[in-house]
Amino acid sequence: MASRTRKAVRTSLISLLWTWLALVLPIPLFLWSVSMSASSALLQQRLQMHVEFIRKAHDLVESTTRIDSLLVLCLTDPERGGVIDLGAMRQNLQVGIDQLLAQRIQHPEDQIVTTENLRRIEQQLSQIVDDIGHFVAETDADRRFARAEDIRGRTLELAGGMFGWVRQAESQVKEFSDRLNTQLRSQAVGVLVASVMALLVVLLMYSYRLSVLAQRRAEFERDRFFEASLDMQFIADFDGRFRHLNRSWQRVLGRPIKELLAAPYIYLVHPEDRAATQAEAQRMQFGADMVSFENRCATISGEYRWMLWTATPDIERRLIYGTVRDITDRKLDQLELKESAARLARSNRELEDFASVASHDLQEPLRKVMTFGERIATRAGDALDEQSRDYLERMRNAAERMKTLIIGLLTLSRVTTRGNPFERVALGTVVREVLGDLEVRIEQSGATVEVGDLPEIEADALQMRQLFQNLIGNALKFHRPEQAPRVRISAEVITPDPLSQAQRVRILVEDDGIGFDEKYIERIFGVFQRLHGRNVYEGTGVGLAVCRKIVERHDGTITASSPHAAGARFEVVLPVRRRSEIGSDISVGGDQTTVTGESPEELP
Amino acid sequence: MTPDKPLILFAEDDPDDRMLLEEACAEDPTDYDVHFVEDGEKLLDALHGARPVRRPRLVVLDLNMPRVDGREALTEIRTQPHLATLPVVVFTTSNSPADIVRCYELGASSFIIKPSSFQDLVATIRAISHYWLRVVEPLPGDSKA
Repeated sequence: MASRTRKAVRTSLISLLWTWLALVLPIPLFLWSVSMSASSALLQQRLQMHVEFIRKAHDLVESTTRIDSLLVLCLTDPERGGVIDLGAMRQNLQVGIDQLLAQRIQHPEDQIVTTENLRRIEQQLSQIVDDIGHFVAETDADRRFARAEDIRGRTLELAGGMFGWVRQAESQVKEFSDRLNTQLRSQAVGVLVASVMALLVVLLMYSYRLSVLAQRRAEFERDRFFEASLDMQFIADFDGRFRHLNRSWQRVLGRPIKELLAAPYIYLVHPEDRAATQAEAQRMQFGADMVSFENRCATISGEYRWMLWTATPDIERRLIYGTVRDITDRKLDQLELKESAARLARSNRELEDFASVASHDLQEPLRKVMTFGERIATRAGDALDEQSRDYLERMRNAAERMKTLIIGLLTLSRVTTRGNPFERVALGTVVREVLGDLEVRIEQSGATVEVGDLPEIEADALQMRQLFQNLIGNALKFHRPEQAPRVRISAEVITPDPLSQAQRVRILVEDDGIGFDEKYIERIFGVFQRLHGRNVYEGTGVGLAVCRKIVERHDGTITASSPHAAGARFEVVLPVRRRSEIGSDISVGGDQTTVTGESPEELP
Repeated sequence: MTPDKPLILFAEDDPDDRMLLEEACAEDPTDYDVHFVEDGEKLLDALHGARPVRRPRLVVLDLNMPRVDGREALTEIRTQPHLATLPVVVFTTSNSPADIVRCYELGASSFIIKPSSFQDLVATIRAISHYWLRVVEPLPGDSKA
């Protein structure tokens, strides 16, 4: 946890630094380039001032009339001031400037000027000259520079006389200005290029940094998946060792990850499963995936847990990537399921044994009781007194009942033990056959039986027959005294669950008989449950119990109702198909009779 | 026992049933000899000639008997070439569909559930004897009346 926080802090610091570099580094570069161009503008301005100064000097030379043979120019620093008009100065000072200048030029130190004014001028001039010191020029009558010297007395080369000098100065200034401009421009371009380059480099590095971050994030997320998985994730090498394990390993096996990484993994595996495990690992080295391999691995307490392995090899890197799931609980469930299936099979076997016992061993003594009872009645009936004959009759009746019970139980047990495989059964045919079997009873009772269209379903044909036999038989049996029963059998295909689309057929068997009190609704489906005296309505007492068992075996439901005890209405819902299959096109044909919620009195 | 009379061989372990069968046969107008054995082993002995019983025209076989039961005896009978055509009527209390199917598979000629009324028993025995001794012609190898 702490190392993750540290990592996160480091990551955010690094990204902060990069953001800073990306934003801050180009700024001084940019400012530098701006200041360079600004200073270049300043230099330009200064050069312009020089040019102006020279022009002014030229204009002065042009305009002056007071100087005839000698013009003295003292070109001051243009930045500090303009041109000093020495001609005007001479006039003001009333001094022979020629003389003064000649003295100064020829003997600047030796010549002593006696007058106060001259000294002052001398001082001023020398001050000026010292400060600025340019040159002194001599013009001829045509105002051409005849001679020019700098303040140190060096002769200056003057081409083309006075104007030539100005032009030269101008051209020199221009040339210098151009050079300076070029230099400055190239410098500015250089700076610009450098700053652009710097920006590019920074951007490049930043984008690299971003991709590194994205990769880090992907790795982090992958690691999180790896770590957060409830399954045990692993990376193993081809030499039989784990390289990387997530925390689930520790959770499931209770062993520290370090310990698991230290030893070959085969030591974890149950000795009986090692050979199979190594065979799997071997197969993977040749590129085969490991799919749903099961073995047992030891926890720290020495208990073995069932593991389900799925893995895929990387042959180039000689690594195996995989997932392991603890399926111990599932295994135990399976085991339990197996056991309960075995228990069920055992109980079915016992039921079958019972059925066989009931069908033979129980019936044999009973048959004897009945036969010998009959023999006594036949041979000695007349010799017995009335009470003895009554006892004998009761005994024989009881034996008959016992036989009925045994047959009932057998019938019931055979629904489960003697069920046939499911096939396509036309319920209409089944009902027709049942009505054929019941023909005598129908005729005797004068019953009216109305049968609607019935669909074809997948079912046990014999049991369907048994079901209808019992239901229709009941409807005929429990009729009102002195009233011919009316029975109606109908069906409709329904789709109770729109999601599954599994079709079911709802079958209704309705009569207008005596019905039953709905508070006994559960009892009528019970074994040997009777609502009526044996002497009134005969029967085994298992008919409806058999019906329910058949319906349940067919994954259906059976319910009964008797609104106001006027007739009984049995509703059986069965799946059309054995397994839930979508797209069944079974339907009840044209002139079907659909009975929904009608009271039995309304039956035809 | 008269040698020229047809013989019905009953394999029946239950003394009550033996008594009832004897009484029922006594009421049967068809003329035949009756011989009883108590289990399948004795039945096979009788059929193999180990005991001096002449070849029966019909064997009436109970299913649940000690030692060799009816199913085993039937199996054994049908594997013997000289007994392959011998009519064997299974006569039992069992009404289990499994038993019925099994017995026919093993080669039973008929499967009859023992009735629980003496009158029915008499009628059944009459029908059996009439059919197998009068209606059905004995196959070569079976003794003739």
